[in-house]
Amino acid sequence: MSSLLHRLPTHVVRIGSQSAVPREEEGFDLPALAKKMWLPAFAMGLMAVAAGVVAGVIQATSGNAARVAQIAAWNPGLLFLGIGFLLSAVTFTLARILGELRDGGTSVQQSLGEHALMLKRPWSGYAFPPAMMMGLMTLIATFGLGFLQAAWLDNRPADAADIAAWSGPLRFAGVALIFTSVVFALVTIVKSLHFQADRLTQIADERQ
Amino acid sequence: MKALDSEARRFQIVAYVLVALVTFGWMAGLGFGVGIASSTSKEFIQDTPAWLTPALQGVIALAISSVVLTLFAIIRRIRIRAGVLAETLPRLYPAATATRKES
Repeated sequence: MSSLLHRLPTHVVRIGSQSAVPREEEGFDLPALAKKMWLPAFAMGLMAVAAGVVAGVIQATSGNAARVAQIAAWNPGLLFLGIGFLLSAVTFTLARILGELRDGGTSVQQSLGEHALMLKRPWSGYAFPPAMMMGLMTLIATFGLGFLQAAWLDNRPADAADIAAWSGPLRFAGVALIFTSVVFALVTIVKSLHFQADRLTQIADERQ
Repeated sequence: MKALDSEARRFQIVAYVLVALVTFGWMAGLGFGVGIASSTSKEFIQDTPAWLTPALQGVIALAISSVVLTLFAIIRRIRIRAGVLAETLPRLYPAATATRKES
């Protein structure tokens, strides 16, 4: 806790209606992490969806009823997990856009001989990474539940039916959480663009 | 700057191609849906949904991929914008910028 407090920015200034901190006082560099993570998330998403499509074709052409029932139990979880990874790649790319806005704003301010200020991370900037992670964890859990359901089809059919009943809505909840993180990331981009307009206006006003 | 511009254009063109594929995909999906509803073949009605639903989720995956590519084009455009502003603004305020840099 003390180290967290130590990292909190101390020189908060108001620019227009928003709070700003000097560029050098930025805490955790989320865009740098996003730059590394978008490609693995994107690749895993494409692979999961492709595997789900192949499993669907096997399910459609198989004559083995037990195998068809098992694939039907775990395949939706696999497909939703793929969609979740792809949407996470979108969130990571939005975080990269935030990094580009930050770096571009810094270079413009420095070219004008000004001290580089950046938007103090708003609540939406803190909220979108955990929302994405919670959504992805939900989808990973429902993916695992699909295999449990498939394993219980013969021995415990009532329990397997129970899992099928609530894991479907849970999958949608996971995707909804990731969409929420996309919205929060977009809100942060809007705030960042607003801040840049206010900062340029302030610099121009000071020079008149 | 020209390299960034051509990269942005390339991403945008690929995104358009993906959107065209997505449009074709959901239209084909709708066609199969209508086909299932009006078919009398028991086998067709039973087997088609098993692969159609995953295939349509593949279409959604393509749509999300086109979003990612468009966001990449936006990233390139933001870089171009920042470069242009950093280069042109000091020329618009040359005296004030020089004074600030000295102090």
